[in-house]
Amino acid sequence: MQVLLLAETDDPAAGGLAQRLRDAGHGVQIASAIGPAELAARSGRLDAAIFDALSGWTVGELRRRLPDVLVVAWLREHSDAQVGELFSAGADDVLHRGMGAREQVARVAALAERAPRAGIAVAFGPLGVDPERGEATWHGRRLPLTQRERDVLHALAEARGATLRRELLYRRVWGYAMARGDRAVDVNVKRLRDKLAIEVGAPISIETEPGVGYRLVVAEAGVTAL
Amino acid sequence: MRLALVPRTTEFYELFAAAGRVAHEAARLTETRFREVPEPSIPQARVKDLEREADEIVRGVFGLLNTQYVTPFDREDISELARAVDDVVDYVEEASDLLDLYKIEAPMEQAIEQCRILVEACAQLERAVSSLRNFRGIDEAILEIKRLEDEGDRVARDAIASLFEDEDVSPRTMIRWKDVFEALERAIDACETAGHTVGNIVLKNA
Repeated sequence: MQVLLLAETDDPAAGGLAQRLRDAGHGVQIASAIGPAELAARSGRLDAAIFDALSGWTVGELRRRLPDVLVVAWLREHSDAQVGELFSAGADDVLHRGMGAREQVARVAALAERAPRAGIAVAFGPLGVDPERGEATWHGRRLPLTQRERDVLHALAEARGATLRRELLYRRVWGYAMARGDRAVDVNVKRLRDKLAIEVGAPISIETEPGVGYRLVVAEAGVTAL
Repeated sequence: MRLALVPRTTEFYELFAAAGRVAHEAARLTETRFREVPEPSIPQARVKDLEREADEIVRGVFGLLNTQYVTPFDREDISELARAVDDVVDYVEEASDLLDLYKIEAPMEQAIEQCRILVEACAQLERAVSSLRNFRGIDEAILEIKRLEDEGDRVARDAIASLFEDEDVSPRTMIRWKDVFEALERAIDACETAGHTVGNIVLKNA
């Protein structure tokens, strides 16, 4: 996973976190400015941005400027209230110095599972979605979905039970930012839901997190709803 | 051309009431189409049929104007009102047609809100043109149309602004929806124009 660490470049704590992530196999750049990262984000070459919560950046600003990139906040000192605020603001995860090094690396590794891999076949329990072959299957049986429905299912399956925000789902399927008020995600999720109910039934469902987005629940995948 | 001396003023009132009904029905069907896109239960052909019916009503009004010596109001006001209500139906049909022309995949909330305003404005317009015989409730209807037009302006402005909030919104989305928002806005504005014409008739004849 390609990670941008937004912090002062001479900060030893940032350097330590970056090194741990590099040792775990991730590509990490430390930068105090966002400039080149925006281009990398738009061309799909950046997977996550970890920002120092004291740096002045906000989750909202990073979401806007780095579309389709996981946003992780990094707290120098743990604070329940701050962690709650950051998650409420839409952060994908929050790291803090109170966490051990192994936990920090493990959390980033878990995020890597959610990073978009456009065009890559994904298996989620008995569900398979292969964009290159243009098919979605359940226990090997082809599901009669349109391309758009398949793309939505692919994005949800990649998230492996985690809630995908509406805006992120739109970005992954349509390739652009979602205009405020656009109900394309809702309409296509409903159609997909209806078809899965007919074709598969109870073992697969799409749950709504009101005001946020959707998550795919596959009973046989061993992943429970969050 | 011989003008009939036996007045058929009742027919003018009936035609305007029919025009108001058609405009309201066209707006209702269009709202349903917007809510149900991409698979609306109402085909565009039904809205087009209403547009043709509105054209027939206008021809009926002008036919009467050309043959009647006695008219309930100024001839200019009658022809202006007939055209104004017909314009409403034309603009509604145009907005509804964009759903098919642009292959709209899903509605936008702002357009649904515009449709709600449009239906209410057309309901008030129907009320106004159906009350030309006795002017009962007309002032309230005209005021309400004006209020709805103001509300429509705010919603349209916000809707168009929403397309530009993020630089990375698809150009195709921007083109489609800017056109749709503006088409719905024109239809709502046309209701206000028709309402204004009704207001002029009331002023001259009350």
